[in-house]
Formats: sequence, C-alpha cells, structure tokens
Amino acid sequence: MIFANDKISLRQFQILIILDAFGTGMIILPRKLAIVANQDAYIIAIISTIFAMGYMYIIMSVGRIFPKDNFITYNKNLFSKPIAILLGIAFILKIILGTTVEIRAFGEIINQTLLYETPIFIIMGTTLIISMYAASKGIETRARLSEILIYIVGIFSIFVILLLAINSDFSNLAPFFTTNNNTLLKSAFFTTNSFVGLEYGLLIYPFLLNKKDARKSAVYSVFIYGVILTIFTILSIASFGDTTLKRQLWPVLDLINTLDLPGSFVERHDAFVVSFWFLGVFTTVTSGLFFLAILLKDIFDKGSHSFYIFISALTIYLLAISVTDIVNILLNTEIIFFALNIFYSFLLPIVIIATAKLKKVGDHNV
Amino acid sequence: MNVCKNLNDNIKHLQNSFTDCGDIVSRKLFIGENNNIKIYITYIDMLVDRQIIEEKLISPLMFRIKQLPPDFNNIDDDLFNTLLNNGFATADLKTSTSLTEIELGMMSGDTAIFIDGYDIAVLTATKSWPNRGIPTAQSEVVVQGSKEAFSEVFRFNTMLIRRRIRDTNLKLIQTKVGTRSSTDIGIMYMDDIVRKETLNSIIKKIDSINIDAIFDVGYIEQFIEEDWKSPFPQLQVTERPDKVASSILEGRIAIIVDNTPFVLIAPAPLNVFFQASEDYYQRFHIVNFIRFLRYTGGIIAVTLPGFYLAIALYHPSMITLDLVYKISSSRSMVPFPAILELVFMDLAFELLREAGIRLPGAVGNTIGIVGGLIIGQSAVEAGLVSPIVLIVVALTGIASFSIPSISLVRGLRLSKYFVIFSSAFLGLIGFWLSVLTILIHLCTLKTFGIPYLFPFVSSGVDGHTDVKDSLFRFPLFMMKKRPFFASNKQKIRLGGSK
Repeated sequence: MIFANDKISLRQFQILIILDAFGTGMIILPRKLAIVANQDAYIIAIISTIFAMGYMYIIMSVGRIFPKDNFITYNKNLFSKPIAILLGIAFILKIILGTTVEIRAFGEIINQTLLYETPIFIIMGTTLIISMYAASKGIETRARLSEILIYIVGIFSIFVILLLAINSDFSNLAPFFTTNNNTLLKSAFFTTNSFVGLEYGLLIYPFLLNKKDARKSAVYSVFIYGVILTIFTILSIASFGDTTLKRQLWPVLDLINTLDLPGSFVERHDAFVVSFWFLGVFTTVTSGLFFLAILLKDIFDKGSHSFYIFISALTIYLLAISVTDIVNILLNTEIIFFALNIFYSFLLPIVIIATAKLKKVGDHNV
Repeated sequence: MNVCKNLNDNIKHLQNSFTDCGDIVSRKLFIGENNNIKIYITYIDMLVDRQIIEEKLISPLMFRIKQLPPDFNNIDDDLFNTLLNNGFATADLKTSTSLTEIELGMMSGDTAIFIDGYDIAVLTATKSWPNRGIPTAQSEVVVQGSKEAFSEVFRFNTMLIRRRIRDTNLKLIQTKVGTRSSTDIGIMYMDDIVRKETLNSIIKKIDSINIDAIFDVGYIEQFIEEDWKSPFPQLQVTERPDKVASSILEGRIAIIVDNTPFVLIAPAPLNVFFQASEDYYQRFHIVNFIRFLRYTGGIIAVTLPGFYLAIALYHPSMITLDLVYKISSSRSMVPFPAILELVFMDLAFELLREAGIRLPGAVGNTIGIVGGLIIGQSAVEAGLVSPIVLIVVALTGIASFSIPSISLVRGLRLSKYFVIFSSAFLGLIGFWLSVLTILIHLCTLKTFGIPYLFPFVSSGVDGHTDVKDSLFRFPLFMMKKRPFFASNKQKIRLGGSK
C-alpha cells in the first residue's frame, strides 16, 4: 500500500523539525538572551538562526552522501565499528540528557502553574507513557500527528503573538545595537543550542521519501522556527523591558499572563498556554524516544523498536525523578549540552563529509 | 453430489435433503405428444413468483411443446437442448450438474427442473419474495435530495445503484458468504476508477470469511476492518443509494449484503463520516457553515465534559471570578463529587438515548421529553445534579447528533469517557493526554491502506486535492479531480471523458 512504507514526506519532515524545536526552550530563551545582550537580545536570536541554518545544511549534506545508510552503518564504513558504536553511545547519552531535562522542566512548569498538588513524578510518568505510545507507532504516525499538532500549536502561537504585539511597548527595544559584535556572535553561538533536534537530521535521512530536496526543506524549517523565536524575543523585551525580563525564569508565561482580553472568560492565560505548550514538549520527548530506539536498535542490531523505546523511557523517567533542582540542572548541564550539540550538529558532520570525500565513500554527486 | 440420469434418484435425493420442509413444492410432469418425457419441477414456496412458474415454465412445457415440428420425437439425442431452447419462456436460466448448487439455488428462489435421462438440471430465476418495497430514508434524512433508501432485497439495492450510474464500467461481483446462510454479497465498483489494490484487498478479505451465517452488513464490517480494537468505524455504513453511487464514482467500493437495508462503503477515512449527501446538492456557502458546525460538534461531543471537569476540579482560577462563582454556587447543593455527578448525568442521557431508539416511535419521543425535561428538571431541583452539568451533558448530546454517521457517533461516545476520566485524574494535562492518545490512535489507524485522518494528514500525496472536500467544501466547479480513492488514470472529474 502507498502509505505503509515507513517513510515520510518533506512536508511532514519540515513540520517535525519545527515541532521538535518547539519545546520548553521557547519559554526560557528570551530571558537567557536578555541577560547577555539586554534589549539587543533579538539580534542574537537572528544570528543563532543563521548559525542553525548552516548547521542543518551541513547535517543534511551527510544524509545526501549516505542516503540509505543509518548513523552506525556509515560511521562504521568511514571509521571503524568501535568508533561508530562509541559515537552512537555518546549520541544516546546526549538525547537521554536532553529529554530528561526537557521532561523535568516541563514537570516543574506544570507543577508550578497547573497541578500544584499532583506529585511531579505522576506528571512526568503520564507524559512519558503517552510519548512512548506515540514513538512506538513509528515514524509515519509521528509525522501524521505532527501535521495535526502544528495547526493547534501554530494557530495558538499566531493568536498569542498578535495579542502580545498589541500590548507591547516597542520603545523598550531602544537604544539599538548597543551590544558589541563579539558578544553577539559568541552568545549566538551558544544560543544555537536551543534549536533542539538539529542533530536528528543525522538519523532521519533513511526515512525520507524525497531525499533530493530534503536539505533545502530542512534549512527552511529552521528559518521558520528562527523567525518565531525572534518574534517571541522581541515581544518579550517590548512588553517587559530587558531589566525585568532578566529577573524572570519563565518570561513568556509572565508575558502571556499580562493579557487582558475584552469579554474573555479566561482569567489566567498562562495556564492555558502551558497546557498548549504541552503539545510541543510531547513532540520533543517523543522524538527523543524514537531516535533513542533507532540508535539502540542499530547498535545492537537486534530486538524490537518498542522494547528499546520502553528501556529508554524508563531510563529517562528514573533520571528525571532523581533530579530535584531544575535550575541547577539547567545551569550544570548547559556546558555539556553545548559541547555535545556542537559536536553532533557541526564537528562530526564536517569530519564525516571530509572523511567520505577523502576515502571516496558514499554518493558525492550531490 | 451430482445430478443422476435417473429422475427418481434425483427426486429421492431432494426429498431426503428437504425432509420435514413443509414449504417445498414439487410436481412431476409428463410432457410430449405421447406424455413419455418425465420432468420434475421443484421450488420453495413464497421465495418464488408462482405466476412466472406457471406461465413461463409449466405452461410452455405442457402445451407449447406439442406445437413443435413432427420430427420432434426424432431428436431424442438433443432433447435436453431442445427443451432448454424451446420449453422455457424465460431468459434467466442456467444449467447445473451439482445437486448442492441446485439446492442452494432453490433456497435463493430459483426453480429446479429435472428431465429424466439427463444428468443435468435447469435452474430458472424465479425469485420473488414479499418485501417492503423501496423505503424512505430514516437514519440519514435530508431536506434536499432523494428520499429513497435501501431495502432488505439484494437485487433492489443493486438496482438502486445501477439506476444512478448508467455506465458499463459499473461492475458487480457476486459471492456468497456463510456456510449455512449462503448470504448473497455484492461488491460494486467502477472498473476504470477503482484502485485495484483496494478492490483485491476487499475481495480477499470477504473470501476469507468463514462463518455459518451473515445477517447484516455489520458482520462483514467486523470481519474486514483493519483494527478491531478501535472504537472508530473503518467502513462507512449508509442507507442512501445516492451516497453509495457518488462514493463509487469517487473510486470507492460498495459492499451489499442480502437481507439488510444498509450498504458498506470502503475505504472510509474519518472525513467521510462528516459528509452528508445533501452537502453536494446545496450551494457551498451553507454547506461550509454546516460542515464547520459538524466538526465542532464532533470535538464538543468528545471533549466538552472532560474539559468542564478539568476546569471545575483542578483549575477554577483559570476562569473569571463570575464564572467560578456561578459554577460553585450551582454545585454547592450537590452532594456528589463533580466526576460522579457528570458521569451519572451522562449515563442517564445515554440510557434515555438507548430507550428512545428501542421503543416504538411515539413512546420513544415521549421518553425523550419525559427524560429530558421532567427528570432533568427534577434532578436539578432535588439537588442531585447542578444545572451547569445538565447543560454540559445536553450540549454534548446535541453536538453528537449533528454528525451524520451513527457509527462515528458511537466511537465518539466511547472516547468521551476516556477524556472524562483522564481529566478527572490530571486536570488539563490529563485532558490533553487523553486527546493526544485519541489523536495518536487516529494517526495510526488506516482504512484499507489509507490513513484514517486523510486528507488532514498526508494530503501531499494527492496534491492536496482532497482538502477541497474536507473541513470545508469548495464550490463544485473547483473540485475538478476525484479524491485519492480513485485510480491515477481517472483523476479528472470535471471536463474529462469516460
């Protein structure tokens, strides 16, 4: 049958990239950027988008050289089996770490805004169970689900952006361009971390129907996400001013809470927003579990996809409930994340492309 | 067992087979100028048209045969063919050497004719049983459009479809299912439009059914659907011939089952359950408004009680103080927890719905009025339920009635309880978790290889053509192509040729 091929279209691929990036990063980023560049924070968002587009271009170029091979196979062919497995294990650790922080941060937000008395382990556990269910259904189901969720997340984001634009004071953005270029570039380099899921491009290529235009589509998706991030950052500064913004852990939530709609029966918009945001987090966690299972299956070369998803979810859950202070965790893991992100999003793809060219391995007519 | 040359052996076999069957009619005739040709006619009473038997079979055999040329007695060698060609004034006949096939034919309303000395018999189609004619549609009523509905008679149903599509490409594959019921099953499709892989898949699935009897399309539906665990229907059930005809022209396949006034249509993604026949008979402005209402109704039918519960139990601070006050004051006299109150009221509504359907028309209506107005009002006055819960339950019920497909409504009704209990457990997060679970399930589901949520997902495979007839319906002149169900060779609908 036409649809039973475990492949996804480019449109579905683009949507997956945008939704994967749409996790809790969007909620905390405006504050992080303001700390570094004050009212110029949005410039960092723009530059980091350009960086991320470059990363995605390089990552997808790897896929074009090895369109049918999985991550472990092409690394084995290029380097050796032990190195390929080592790269796979490090990748697994990176995803586990990222997903654990994501699910924990989400649990904390929900606990603070919606379910004050519900133990956090129940919130995280149920979210993981549903994510497991989605991930176990394969890439096609995930892609179709994303096509539905993008409407919900998209319509809601546009709605919020429009309302915030009305309530914003754009004079807070002035004076312009006060931060020096070095700081801006350095911060943008770090901020590219927030583009969650770029490195999944190394794993997803064999699942794409139209491999020819995949690179262009992927870069375009990153651009779209970057635009949304920049708009959110601008609105955060315009609404709060950079001084207030720096003091708030979840600035976008506070920003949305300031909304006052005429005739609305909604008192606390932030709670609604968080519940919608749940969809974005769910997609990110599902992606993490899905790709963890892919990597584990490729490394061990046996066992079922569902089994590895279960093992991955259990590991993430146990790690997530053992974390107590999310702020410290976010700070402590930032440097590890940064190193791993740079490695998998930029360094490794460059090394792979260069080695493939030197060894004349793969398809270079791309 | 095969037909014997000795007529008495055949008669004996049939008498044994139909022992204690009081509705069997049989007669031995002696025909020919010298009454030396022995013939045996048998059929089942009331399954046949007696007038046809007497005027088209018996009368020619007994009287016209004598008008044959004088050398008739010299053609003994070809007696069977002579009788076949000259003795029966009917076109619909066939020969058979199998007594099992003959018995089956008789039980379907055929008349069997045996001729002594020949190990072959004639089966003539004399089917005619009492029926209620062509009824008026009752479960899919439309304001504008045909009022005809299918009936229990297989041939009436195929006729109702063929009358609407006068094209030789409209094919009907007939088969029988049920080791004891031998129920006639028809598979109707447009030969040049249908996707062959879908057709073959359906034929294969129907052929693999091994059951003693089929009494309704529901049997076939349950045997050939792809995911039996899903509460959502994967085949469309309809009583409207116009809906079936238009579906066949879209490249879909109709499955007709004898003795049932409903026809199955496959494939059936979620989208088609929100479409009604008159959507295409009316101008697109009003149709789009109604479609939007239906989809909204579908969402309300599943989510409203759960959403109410999430807000009332966990997040009252999310809504304005006025609204919180109204909800809490209306609940202040109710002695039950909100979840019990809601489930109790909802189950009461479901009971009323079931009672209303099962009871005869007038009594059913009375139950609706008594249950809805009097019991509801009394329950509120007695403080057993709050008015707001009554409104939520009633609105949910009304929303579900806006969906044209009963089978989809059943799926939504069951899903509603999952959302209610999840929301009661985890508030808005539970609400979203349950909605997501339903969505994941719907994304996984397929109907004969097509994603259940098509064209809301994966519509790119068809250049987004199907989106034009989904949440909204484009003007007819813009819908130039057939939907995805149709073969790629026959995509053009407007301005195309056969």
